[in-house]
Amino acid sequence: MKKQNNRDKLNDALGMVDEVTVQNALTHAEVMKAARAAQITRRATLRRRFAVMAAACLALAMMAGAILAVPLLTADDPAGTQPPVTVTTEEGEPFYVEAPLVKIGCLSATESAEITAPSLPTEDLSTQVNNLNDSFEYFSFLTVDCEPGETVTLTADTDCMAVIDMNYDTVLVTDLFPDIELNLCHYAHRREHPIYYSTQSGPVEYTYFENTATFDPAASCVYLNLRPTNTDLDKTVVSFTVRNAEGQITGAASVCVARYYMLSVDERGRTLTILNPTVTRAAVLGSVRISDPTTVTEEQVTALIGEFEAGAEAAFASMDFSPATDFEARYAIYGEIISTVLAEEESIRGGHACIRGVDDYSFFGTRHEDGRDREFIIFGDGTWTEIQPYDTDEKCILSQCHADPNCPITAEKGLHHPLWPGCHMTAKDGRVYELVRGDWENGILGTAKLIYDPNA
Amino acid sequence: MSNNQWIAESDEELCERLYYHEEAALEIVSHRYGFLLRGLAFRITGSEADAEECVNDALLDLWNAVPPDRPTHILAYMSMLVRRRAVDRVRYKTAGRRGGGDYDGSLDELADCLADPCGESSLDTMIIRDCLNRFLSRLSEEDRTLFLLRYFQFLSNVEIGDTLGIRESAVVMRLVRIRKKLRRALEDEGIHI
Repeated sequence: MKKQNNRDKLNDALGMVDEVTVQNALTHAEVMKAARAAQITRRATLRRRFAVMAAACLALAMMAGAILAVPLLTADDPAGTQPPVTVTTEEGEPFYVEAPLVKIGCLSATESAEITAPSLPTEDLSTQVNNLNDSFEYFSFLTVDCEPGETVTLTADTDCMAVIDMNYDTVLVTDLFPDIELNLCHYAHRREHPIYYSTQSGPVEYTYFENTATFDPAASCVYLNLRPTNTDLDKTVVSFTVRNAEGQITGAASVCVARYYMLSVDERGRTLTILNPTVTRAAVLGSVRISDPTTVTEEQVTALIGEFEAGAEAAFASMDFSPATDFEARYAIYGEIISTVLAEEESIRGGHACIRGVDDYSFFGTRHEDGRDREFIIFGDGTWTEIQPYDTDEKCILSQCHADPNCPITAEKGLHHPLWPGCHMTAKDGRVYELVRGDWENGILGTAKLIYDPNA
Repeated sequence: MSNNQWIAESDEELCERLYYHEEAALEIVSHRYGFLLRGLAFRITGSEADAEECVNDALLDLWNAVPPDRPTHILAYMSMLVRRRAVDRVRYKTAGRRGGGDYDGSLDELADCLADPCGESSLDTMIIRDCLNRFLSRLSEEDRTLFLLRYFQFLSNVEIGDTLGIRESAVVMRLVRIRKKLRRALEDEGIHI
């Protein structure tokens, strides 16, 4: 009944809107329809002409005994290695040229460093949990390549929070992980609070906004934080409009970013872990620079962006979310571990992982509300096992070691998990492993060597 | 009356003739816009006969309203009259009646733009109308057209896409965004029902 009343009231009000507004809309629709019909005719004509030209060229080439190779410009060529392609308008004049305005960076999440955020309000754990469940998870990384003085406006079709980092090359994560361009936010936060991250160069402010924002970069990094949904696979389409100092549109682009969650909805809701195992994919749906900003209209650009966005479903349908990198394969393992832990625990209230740890070991830990830690080592072949929690006493944890109760190796005090060469870790099944250092620089992850098996 | 006369009259000239109650002007309106208006009425009522009647009734409304009204855009003015007639007819008839177009689907989408936290209240439709006018004036031309094609003209998403040259999925996506904006606009003006 209430919904019916809402419908009726809005419906009646719509029937009384300004007459001029209605007329202009109807006229605009007719104009667009006519333009569309003309465009379809023209494209068909151009295709026929191109087919004739191509056939003629091929015939000539075959006569000359040569084979022509025709380069293709793909829409999702983030490196922009191909030259721009001019697309003609209905008047035959160039309207825009395809150009790598937006580039896709490293999308997949990785671990975060220990980042202090002194401006965060103090919140108790339950608030943090609620915030995390209601907040955005982490970032996808796009670069918008602009000229000095240009401004960029971006809009998204879903709840989406974008963090504009004006000087991304000074962000802490890049200092610590020069080979990884992306970091993730591992604190639950409220949207209205800016977050300051301390860096070696000083604080960097991230600006949050919802769905639409304008920023003024010389060259900027846009971190998109997609709002989690109650699905395993979600996407957003983000469109960018670039304007010069006179407010004229100089560029436009659209990107489809999609994310697949390795944890189920229930599992995600029960974790406050900084690691959110997901696979993120993105495709540039269109990226152009406007040939003559003085003559292009808002409507033309809006229509163009609409065409870009209309390709989102097809791009989304062709995305492959199976783990494709070592990082993603590792996230899948984290996902397995988290799922295993949640099968036994009510929740996970913290966690950490080291892909590039103190000594390059693969280690994963979960913290629980009663203060317990559960810890796991991940072997080079992707298998993993739970180990006994570390002991921070100076006494060697090998008091737990069945191989040699008099082992002289001692644990270094203060480490939050033991990661040192030769450290002995006892798994819950009684096996003892000696941790073997990896070689991160050469892409070799740490592993562990079985040195004692009580069942052998 | 010759075909040339049907075409030659501009809307301004037609309005002027209607204002002075010239019956020929009414014939021109019916001939020029009847097809579009019947289409609008059919999308709401789902019946050709009802649609025809609604258009005829709306022509009578036009005759009675002008003067003192002095519309400047005949199609828009007539669209509003036809729409009102068709909506009233649907409400009058049984609940099982459905429009031939996307009438119910369109309105269901809009219903969520109005929050309803406190139960029913009698809110003047004119207040909502004024808010809608302000909201529409802030939209881009493309978004405004899209919104009105959907919720004033009740075109389907496919029809809108064909008209504007965008895909159905893009229409849907944009309407979602516009409805969110509308909801915010209504809430900002304190309109809750």
